[in-house]
Amino acid sequence: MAGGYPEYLCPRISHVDIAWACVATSDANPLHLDREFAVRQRGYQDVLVPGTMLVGWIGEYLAEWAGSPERVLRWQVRFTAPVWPNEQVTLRGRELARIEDEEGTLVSCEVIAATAEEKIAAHGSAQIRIPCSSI
Amino acid sequence: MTADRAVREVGQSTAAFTCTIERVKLIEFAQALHLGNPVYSDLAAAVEHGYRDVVACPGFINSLTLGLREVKAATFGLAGVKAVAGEMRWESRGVVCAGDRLSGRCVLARMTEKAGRRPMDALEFETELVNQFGDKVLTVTETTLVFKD
Repeated sequence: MAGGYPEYLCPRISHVDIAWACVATSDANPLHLDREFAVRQRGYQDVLVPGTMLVGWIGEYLAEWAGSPERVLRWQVRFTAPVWPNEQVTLRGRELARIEDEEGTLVSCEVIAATAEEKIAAHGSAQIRIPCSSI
Repeated sequence: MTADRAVREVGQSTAAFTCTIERVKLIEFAQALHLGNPVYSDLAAAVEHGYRDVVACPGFINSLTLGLREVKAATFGLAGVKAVAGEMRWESRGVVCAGDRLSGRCVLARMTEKAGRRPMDALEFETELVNQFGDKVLTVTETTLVFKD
């Protein structure tokens, strides 16, 4: 798709999903796991969805765009706002530039993770390699 | 300057470490995120697609999953400080799969001060990872924002 990539609706994440992600990443931060702590002691409305989950979605989004995970060459994610459990997050990708070479096409792109209220939760940028056959 | 800040120095690093990527952790993560591509959670699908084992979803490899949290806290004076994750960056030269043994060390590559309503130190940590085949497979760079107040 010239200029962009189809947007992706991330699944609404439950407290149980967050707990599993924390187990998988060895993240014992109570801000993700203990609602009482997050609300009473830190003043948040709920626990925070871990940044690693946003990273995982953005990583998979880029891998799907590129065609496979190893074609995601360089990328970064900056966290800009918290995401709460059951909040709907949408990923939107936009192509910024492309360079053609003998190995295919090197695409520079950005990915925005936005909530239904258009709160930008994370901003990603990447270089991905797209093979000639998939253009 | 606090005692914690005094221990930090650009170029300072953790001791060298080696970490084995566990298949069960990759599957738990993929399932928690409801990732659609089976190469992140199904061994047979991963092998069918030409991988040696279940694939680590891009971004899965970071300080937490490498088991570096306590080591970084002790080395760089981060225990008990107020800090948030700022930015994460990956430079990938190959795929990481379950069973891979990744070796490296985490280096404090850059340190800058950020002015503003809540002044912070921005600490940029760089970890270059070599796999069991000797390939420099991945560089992970993470920025931690440490509040000064």
